Amino acid sequence: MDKKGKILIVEDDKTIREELQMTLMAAGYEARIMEDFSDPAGSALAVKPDLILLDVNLPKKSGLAICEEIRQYSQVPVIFVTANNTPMDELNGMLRGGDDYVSKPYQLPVLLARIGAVLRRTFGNGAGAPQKTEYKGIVLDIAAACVCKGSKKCDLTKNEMKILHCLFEHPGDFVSRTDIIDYLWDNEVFIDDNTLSVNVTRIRNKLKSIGAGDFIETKRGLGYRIG
Amino acid sequence: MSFKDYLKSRASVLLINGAALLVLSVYLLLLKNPGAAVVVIVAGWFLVLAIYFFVRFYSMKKYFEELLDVLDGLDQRYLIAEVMKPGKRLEDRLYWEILRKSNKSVIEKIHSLEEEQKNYKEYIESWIHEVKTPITAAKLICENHKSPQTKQILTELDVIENEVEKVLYYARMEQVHKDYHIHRVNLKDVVLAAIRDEKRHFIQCGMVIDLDMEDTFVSADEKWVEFMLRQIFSNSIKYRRESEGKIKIYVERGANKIFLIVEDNGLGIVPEDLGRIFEKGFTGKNGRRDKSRATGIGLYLCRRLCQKLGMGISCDSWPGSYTKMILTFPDSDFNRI
Repeated sequence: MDKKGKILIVEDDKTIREELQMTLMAAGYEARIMEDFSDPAGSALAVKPDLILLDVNLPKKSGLAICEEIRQYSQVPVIFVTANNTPMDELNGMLRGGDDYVSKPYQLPVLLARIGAVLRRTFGNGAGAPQKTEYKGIVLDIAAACVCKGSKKCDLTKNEMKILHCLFEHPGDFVSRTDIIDYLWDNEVFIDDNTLSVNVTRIRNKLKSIGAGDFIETKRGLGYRIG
Repeated sequence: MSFKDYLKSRASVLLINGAALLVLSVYLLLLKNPGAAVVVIVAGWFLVLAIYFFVRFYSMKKYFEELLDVLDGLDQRYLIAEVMKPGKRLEDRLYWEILRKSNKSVIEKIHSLEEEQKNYKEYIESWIHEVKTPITAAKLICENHKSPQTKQILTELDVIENEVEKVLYYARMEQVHKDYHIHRVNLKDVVLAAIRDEKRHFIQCGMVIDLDMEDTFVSADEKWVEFMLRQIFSNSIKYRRESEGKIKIYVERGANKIFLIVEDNGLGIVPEDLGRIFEKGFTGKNGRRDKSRATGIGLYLCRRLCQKLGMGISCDSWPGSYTKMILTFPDSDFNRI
């Protein structure tokens, strides 16, 4: 997979920066961490990142000051990360040239979404998810909310759409029921295990009507897979 | 203060004068003075005494009325000795001196308490910021090593995070005015953020949410509203029914008001507890159930925050059937600008 962008993590807590690096790499970014805080702005610019995640409370110099310094040389997007969450801090962050502001402890999907949004805003690449995805002859049309095989087509409800979308994002892999539910809750569908089963059964019936009855495979203990 | 009261307090002076006058009259009469002369002396004596009493009474009355006026106008009444003028008489000056000394010690005590409280508050706030770092780190570790166990730990971390937030909001309560930023907010986004905060908890408890609202704009501070919603959600989770727990979230519009309603199908609240759930430390029948983590602080904070933000919060419930928490937002003209 192509790297989605180079992100520099400026954070003084060792555990957080290393775990965050792992997370961002798992999400497809190239993640760098800063170990030496003697000249943060200089070493940040030397990395030539596409985006900087900047902690506000750093040992020697505050993140706000570092951001100002960086701004003298570069317009690289900066997202502030901090445990303070008063409107004053937020305002301060924005005035010093920050592009966004996330407070600790963050929810990872939120952080990733903010990173994605700032990168999109700055570089204008990959504007949103593709509107259609295809796997083994089955086309999921997100814009029209339907699934097609050849010329046969079947409409989907919002819930069914989101479930299929989740499976299409991991083609050929089993996705566990809990991961699907997790994904759904992040996408404004708040259902439980039973409702998921009901929905999957409905999707199967719909797929059968367009001649793809065995497109979704179930494996006990592992979850669902398309293929 | 009436003249009669004043005379009563000066009874001893009156009595001594009366007795002295009586002795003098008898003495003068025994010396064969004419009765008319004695009457003139007695009348003159009384006139002088009466004038003295009247003058004293009016000057005293004026003095105390001024003092009471000053007292009423004072923001901190214990500061009265700092602004009052000492009286002219010796005992007045002594009283004034005593009052000043006593007040001084009160003021010093208050200052030291305020200082202590301020330090404590600052410590709590900095502690909260400190503790957020390990919570963040623990969450990241769990996210990077997904397993059923780390998922459970994540849920517990969410609980810790919410409890920490409660402490922060409690500590900041008195200075809310420094800490909010009322502006145009999409209520739906705030609801979604609050659901995200409690997501793992909801999923783990097998609850479903029926979010039935369009984009709705109100004037509020999203951070505070999100906090309140989180308290409401956490109660719905705590007091859910065994299976098929469900929450319905919807918006209703009233005259110049917007209502955000969170309705669950949980245990409900008995009528005798319903009026008291927003009291500090009140846990009620539900709070006494096994495993309940009720502290009686969450809803209390919600009500206080609502008061400060010009919002309303109310509750309607029936045991074993439903609980409806209603947040009221003013539908100000600001929304239409």
